[in-house]
Amino acid sequence: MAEIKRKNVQKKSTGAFIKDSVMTGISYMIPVIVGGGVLQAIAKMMGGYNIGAEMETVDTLAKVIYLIGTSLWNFTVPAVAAFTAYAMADKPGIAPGLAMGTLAGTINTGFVGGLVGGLMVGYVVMWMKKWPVPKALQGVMPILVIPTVATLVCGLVMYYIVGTPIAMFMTAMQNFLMSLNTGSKFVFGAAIGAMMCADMGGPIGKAAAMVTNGLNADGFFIPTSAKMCSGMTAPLGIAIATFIGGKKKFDDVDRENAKSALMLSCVYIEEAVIPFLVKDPVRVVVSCMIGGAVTGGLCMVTSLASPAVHGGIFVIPMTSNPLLFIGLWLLGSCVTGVIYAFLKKPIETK
Amino acid sequence: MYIVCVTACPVGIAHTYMAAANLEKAVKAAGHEVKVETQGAQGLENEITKEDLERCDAAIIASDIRIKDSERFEDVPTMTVAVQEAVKDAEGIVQELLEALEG
Repeated sequence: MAEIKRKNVQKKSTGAFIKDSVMTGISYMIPVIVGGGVLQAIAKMMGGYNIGAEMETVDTLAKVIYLIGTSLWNFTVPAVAAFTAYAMADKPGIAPGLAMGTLAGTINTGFVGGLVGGLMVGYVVMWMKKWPVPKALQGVMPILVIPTVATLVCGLVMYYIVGTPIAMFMTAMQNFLMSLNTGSKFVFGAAIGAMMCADMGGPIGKAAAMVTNGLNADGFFIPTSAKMCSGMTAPLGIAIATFIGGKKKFDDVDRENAKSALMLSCVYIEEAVIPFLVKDPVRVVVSCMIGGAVTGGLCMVTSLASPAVHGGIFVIPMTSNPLLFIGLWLLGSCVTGVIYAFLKKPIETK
Repeated sequence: MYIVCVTACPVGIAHTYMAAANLEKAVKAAGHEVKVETQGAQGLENEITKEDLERCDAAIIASDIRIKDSERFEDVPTMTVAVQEAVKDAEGIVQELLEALEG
C-alpha cells in the first residue's frame, strides 16, 4: 500500500496490531453472542429459568428454541478465535482458529483461552506463509499444510502448555466473582460502570466491555447487566440534564442532540454523548462516570443478570428482573442528569 | 480531487457511520469529490468500485479493525487513521491528507 506517513504518529506497534486483531475478532463475535444469548433468553422466558438443566429430552417449543440458541451461542469463542486469527493471517487463519476456540471451551479456558489461541494461530500462520516453498507445492500450503500443521502445533501448545495456567486463572477469577461480598461487588460494578461512561465507546469503555463480554461468554451474566445498564445511563442522563438546565445553560443545538441521545440511550449507543463530550469534556465525563458507577454498582449488588450483551430496551425483558433494570437505568441517568445540569456553565451572552 | 474513504469499527453500528458522515462532510467542505464505503455490521455498503479506484487521487481508511479487501488500495496514496479521530476531527484529517499530497 502506498502509505502516507502521518505527522506525529509513530509506526504501528505490536500492541496496536494485536489490539486491532482482537477487535476484529470481537466484531465478528458480537452478532453470535447477541443472537445466541437473546434466543436462549426467550426460551428461558417461555420455559422457565432452569431450562438449560432440563435439556435431556427436547419436548417443548421452548426447549427447541433453547437448542437453536445454544447452537449459535456455542460458536462465541470459536468465532472470536477464528476471526482474530483471520485478521492477522487472512483466510488460512480461520480453520485453525475455529479449532482453538472449540478446544478452549473443552479445556475450560473459555474466552481468554480462545483469544490466546486465536493470536497464537495468527502468528504461526503468518510465519508459515513466509516459508520458502517450491512453486509446485504452493497450492497445497493453504489447503493442506497450514490447516493441518498449524492446528496441530497450536492445539498441542494450547493443551499441554498454555491451557493449564489459563484454566487456573479462569477458575480463580470465577471463584473471586462468586466470593465477592456486597461491598466489593459494588466496587467491581461501579468500576465497570464508570469505565463504560468514561469515553463513550472509546478504548476505556471497550476494555470494560471486553471483560464483561468475556465473562458473559463463560456464562457469567451479572457483569453484563452492569455494563449495559450503566452504558445506557450516559446519553439519557445528558438528555435529562438539558431538560433540567433549561435555556440558560443549553442552546438549541444541544436540545436537538439531546433528542437523539434520548433515542440512542434506548438502544445502548453511548456515542450520542460525543457532541456534548467534545464541547465540555471534563464536566460531561465526571457526571457520566458518577451516574454510571451508581448504576453499575447496584446492578452487581442486586445480582441483576443480562444474558444479552447488546440490544438496549429490546433485551430488557430477557434480564432476570426487567423492572429493576429500568429502575437502575433511570436512577443512574437522573444522577448524571442532575449533576451535569448543576455543573454546566450558563451560555455566555455577549 | 477525488478522495475515497473506508470506515469501520468493532460493533459497526455507530462509529462507522458517524465517521463516514463526518469524512464526507469534511472532504466536501474542502471542495473535493468524495465517496465513503462503510464496513459496519451490515457488511460492505456503498462499495468502492474498480472505476473509483482508477479515478481517485487518495484514500482515507478510518478503522479500529482490519478492513476487508485492503489490498485494493495498493496503488493509491492511503492514510490510515483510528475511527475515533474521524468522528472527532474529520476536518483535521482531510487537511493533513491534502497537505501531504501537495508536499
